[in-house]
Amino acid sequence: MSLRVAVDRQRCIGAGTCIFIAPTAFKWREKEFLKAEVLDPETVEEESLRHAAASCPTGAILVEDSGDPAPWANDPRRR
Amino acid sequence: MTVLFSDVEGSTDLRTREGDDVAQEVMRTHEKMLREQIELFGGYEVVFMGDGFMVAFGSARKGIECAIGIQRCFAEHNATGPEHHIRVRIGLNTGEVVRESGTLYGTAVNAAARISAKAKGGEILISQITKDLTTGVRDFTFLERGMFDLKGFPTQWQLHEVVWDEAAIAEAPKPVPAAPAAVPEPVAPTRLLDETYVRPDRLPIVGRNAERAAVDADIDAVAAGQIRVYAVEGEAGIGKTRLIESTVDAAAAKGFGSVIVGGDEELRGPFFILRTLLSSTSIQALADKANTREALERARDVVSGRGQSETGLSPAEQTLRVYDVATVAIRSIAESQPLAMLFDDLQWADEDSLKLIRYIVRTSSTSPLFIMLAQRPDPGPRVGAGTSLVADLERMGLARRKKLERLTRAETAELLDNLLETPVSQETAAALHARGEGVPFFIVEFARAFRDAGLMHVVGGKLELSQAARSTVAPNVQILIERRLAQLDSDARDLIADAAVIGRRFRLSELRDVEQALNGDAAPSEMDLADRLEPVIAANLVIELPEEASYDYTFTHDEIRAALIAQVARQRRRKIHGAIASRLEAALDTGGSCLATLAFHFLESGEQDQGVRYSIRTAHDSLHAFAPEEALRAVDLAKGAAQSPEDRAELLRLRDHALEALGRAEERIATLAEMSALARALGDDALELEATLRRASATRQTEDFDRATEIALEALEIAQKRDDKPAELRASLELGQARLQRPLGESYSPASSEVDVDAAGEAYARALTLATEIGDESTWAAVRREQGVIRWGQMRKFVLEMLEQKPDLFDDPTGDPREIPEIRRAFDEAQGILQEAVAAYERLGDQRGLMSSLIALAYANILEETRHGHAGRLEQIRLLRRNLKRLTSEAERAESDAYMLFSIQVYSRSHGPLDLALLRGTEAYEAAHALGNRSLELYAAGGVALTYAVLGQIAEAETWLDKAGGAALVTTDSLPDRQLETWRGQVRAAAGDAEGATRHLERALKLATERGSPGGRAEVLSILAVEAARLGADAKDEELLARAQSWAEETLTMSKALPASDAPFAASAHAALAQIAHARGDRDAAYENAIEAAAEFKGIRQIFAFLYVEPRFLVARALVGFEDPVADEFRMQLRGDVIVALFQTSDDAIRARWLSTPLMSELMGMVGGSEALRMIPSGAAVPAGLSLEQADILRRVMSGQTNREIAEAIGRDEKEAAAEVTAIFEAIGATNRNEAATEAVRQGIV
Repeated sequence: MSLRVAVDRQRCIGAGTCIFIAPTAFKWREKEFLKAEVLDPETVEEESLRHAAASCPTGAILVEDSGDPAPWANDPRRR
Repeated sequence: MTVLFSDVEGSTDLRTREGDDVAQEVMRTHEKMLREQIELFGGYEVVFMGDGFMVAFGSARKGIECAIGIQRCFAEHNATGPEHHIRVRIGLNTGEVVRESGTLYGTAVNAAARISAKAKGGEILISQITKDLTTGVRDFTFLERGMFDLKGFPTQWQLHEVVWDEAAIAEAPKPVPAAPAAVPEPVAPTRLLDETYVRPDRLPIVGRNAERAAVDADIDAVAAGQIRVYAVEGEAGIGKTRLIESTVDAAAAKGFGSVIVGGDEELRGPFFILRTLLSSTSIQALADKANTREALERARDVVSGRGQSETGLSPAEQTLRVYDVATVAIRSIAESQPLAMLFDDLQWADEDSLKLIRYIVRTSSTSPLFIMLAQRPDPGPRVGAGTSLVADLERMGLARRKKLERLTRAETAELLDNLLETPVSQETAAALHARGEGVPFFIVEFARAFRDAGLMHVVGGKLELSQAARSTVAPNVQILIERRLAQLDSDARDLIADAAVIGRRFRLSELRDVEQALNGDAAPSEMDLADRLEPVIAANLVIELPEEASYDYTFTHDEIRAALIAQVARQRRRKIHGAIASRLEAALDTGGSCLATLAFHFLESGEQDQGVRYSIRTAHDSLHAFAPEEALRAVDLAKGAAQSPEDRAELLRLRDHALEALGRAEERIATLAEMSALARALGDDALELEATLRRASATRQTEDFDRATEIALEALEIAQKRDDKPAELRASLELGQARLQRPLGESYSPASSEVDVDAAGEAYARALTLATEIGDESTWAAVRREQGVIRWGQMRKFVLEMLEQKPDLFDDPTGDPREIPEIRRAFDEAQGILQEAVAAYERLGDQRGLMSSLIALAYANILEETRHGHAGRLEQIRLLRRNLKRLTSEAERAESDAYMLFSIQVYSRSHGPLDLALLRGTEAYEAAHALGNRSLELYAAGGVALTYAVLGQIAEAETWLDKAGGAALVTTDSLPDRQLETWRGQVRAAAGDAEGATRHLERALKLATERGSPGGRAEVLSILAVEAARLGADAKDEELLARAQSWAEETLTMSKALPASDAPFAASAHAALAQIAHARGDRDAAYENAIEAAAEFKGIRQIFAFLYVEPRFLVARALVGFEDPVADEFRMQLRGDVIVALFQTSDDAIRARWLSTPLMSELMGMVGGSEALRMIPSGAAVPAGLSLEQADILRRVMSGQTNREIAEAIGRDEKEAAAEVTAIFEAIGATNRNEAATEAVRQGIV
């Protein structure tokens, strides 16, 4: 299954839990202060990605199947 | 004005039975007691009628209170044992009245009188509107009494009873929830016939063996506590409805409650299906049985927009909330008795209701719900909403679908035998099968037609079709129906054709109005019409519906109706639509009409203007009810009919609104191009400007922010030229949002590498000035919030610039960035601005705005200390987010809570506050366990185990590993084996068991390799290297050190192959190599590797550092005795990070335990932290002098828990909890929950 992984830069608060859980999938964003970004999701198992997303205190990480997740998920405001 | 009517039950009887004197005595008592109450509650006595009163009240609440007062008075009177009991009927209604010559007139008055006539002695009945006006004002208890016909009113009224004798309610036997018994009791089927009518004369079901077996299997699965969805698709007449009927029987036999709801070709109001479902008598009866009437009523209120106002939720959230509340209502019914919900004719269902079905299915996996979805295949190539719902559910493995096939020849014969009650010959069956093409409906129709025409005869005990029938040209159904219609006399035929235009279901009163309009003379009586319909019923063309249904008749099949409509001349059809439209229009004020239906009838009647007008109203209402699809449908229906430019502009505006809510930005742009073209054609500058502004918003929705900025600037220029302040404000808002790349209320921490915060700031500064000038407080609050966020973003930008010049700005972890004056100032300003926004939102009562501002405040406070440091701030954000979310989704609340706890656990483990890590980890585990989320349970338990290992509590760690192992057994997650082995290895290493540690970790390594996870492999290798190096050094085990070395070298090779990251793998490997060299006495190699590791750790170190305490400890060991700047800096940073972690661990016992572990005592000796340690205050201190329990309660208040929920959580009664909450508010200087949340953020208490 193909997964889409993204970090919402405005919501990210730099707690770093995603980097702690999956350090090869996420990293600190260059030239930014306390922001994470996606590095290489392929290096870890899907479960690690999901747990990294779940552990984000500000809900800034999106991990979704490329398939249709929910009827309102295409509403950009619900990210 | 609220009007109350009262009268004494049985007053006439009393007079005849006991004589005038006795009656008069009783009436005098009644009069006196009533007048007292009227005066007490400030009523105005309009009329006194001897045995009754008409009283007017300025407030609905006073009216109800007075009615309760009256009933209580008489109850007391009757209790004193008088000779004659007095029982009074009371009815109330609210509405506009006309006052003339001392009395009141108006529909509202008439209705009140009719309502009181529906009451029994001792009852108070009120209308929906009176109920709505008092809901939430005082705690009245209402019982819904259902729909009533009121004399003189064309539509039905929803009436409610006011409960005034609470004791009676309390004593009334409550339905006992059905125990989940294995053997279902013989329950009477609660299949109540309501909106969808089950035909009384149905034939035994024929064929469909596979379908029925599947349904039976599903019903068993549901009874065992799992949701099941079965979707059937098939052409008209194939027997979908029949299958639904047989399913209801099967479900009832297993003790299920059932409800059937059908889509309707013409009625497609927002949530039509959902509304029909929630107001069906079946579901009401089931809810009563399950004792969950309240949830059902709440759902009905929310769906019809009568619910508690949820200010400021986005449309998507509102819709979600509607789904959620409805789902909760349905699930609560199913919890008491398994429920079968059968949806028929879904091809006509509104999209919002379809989404609800999807929502129910997706969120109720463990509810005993059986859902059947029946629909026709899509007529054209376009995929219908119902079809795509079923396809999606099937793809997600949540539903099974089955196409209903035509009957076989044998099945046709069986069907005919059942129908004709005499066996048919093989030839006859074959002939009918061919003619009916295997479609049961057609077969039955052919058979009936031939039989009734005398074309079938019994020959040798079997029915034979006569030659005449065989030789007829292959008739189509149209002809068949024609034949059936031919049996009717012309009067009945015309009448039923008129009725067909009204709708699939119709009422006698509607038909009467139609006939009157068509014939222009006196209306026929309903009785007369009913008589004239008798032959139609006899011909099985329509069915009479039971009394309690809201319609009188329904057509047996749409084909029949379609054939009939085709016979009605166009002019006549228009007249009928017109009559129905006027009738519906007249009933509008009483809320009895569906606007969408009204608009449809007007458009069909040729009254385009009216049709357009009501379509616009429908669209408005739909948007208001958060049903954008319905709004879109209404707009598109009226689009061709709109003549005036105003109407056309308004329709385009509504279309844009609906598309915006649906997130369909591309279509918005097309719609807005049309709006621009219209504006240019009309030379309407204001409309053109509006189109431009909307285009900026639509472009922003496509995420083309540069273009959106350009358009907003264009609009701004035009608005300024025209000196149009409101338009300029809108343009400034658009500009701000385009530049900040987020809609209002949704930016939190702008990244300056992404957005130009200063430019966004300029736009919002202008917006603030304009909002102030115009006096638009709500926009002012929204802008102020964005300004606070921007100020925080500017602070971030400043820090980045400083870091550019001085990269070691944060290297001293004990140094406080807030001491830098520019940072301090930006901090204070951002907080001040956001607090202004919070205050403004609170004044406005905008809960969502308030929460969103509070979250922004928590973001902007991130560097301020809390009891648990940074973790405390994160916890605040998550608590507030939960509170915000709580407004929309109860269904996902528990899960969100569990993840919230987990996130704080992970953060605390990685950064230090170990007490918080244990506390939240345990809570996360328990929450996940309760939810049945095994995967989360596993991770939370593993985290707790590792925390105990760090604290040296091996036994506890092993216990938690067992819990993790238990969860791993049942999870579907495939990662746990590797995770568990890693954790086991780490715990064994903490216990000093080198053999156990390497055994488990090597197994983990093997699993990571097998799974092809390079990240996982590198992680396990680096842990192996570090643990083996430390254990080998401690035990002076050269063999282990050698293995450690090879693992460390492999880690380095692996990490080079991975993308450059912030992973600690290479640093850990160098730390292990340093330790190995150190143990071997190779000072140079130890130093070299240690310096390498130090540089790598520094490279991945952020202002809030991960501790990575074990590898860093090894580096510190290797650097003992080296006194150069690099070594000093490393020690200083390590000391700083550890001290911060210890500082934030506010539980004294846990901190002491941690410090006493061999690793920590050696570490503190090496890096020198004893002086700083002495400065750590005792942990129990919570700001504002709160106790730890109080801080916990405040945390719950912040997350939106009620006093009752808090009481339950802390194991005390509600009163005590309320008292605690009050005490906390006092201590922190808050007067309400919102202020408490603000103060908790501001003062850093959680």
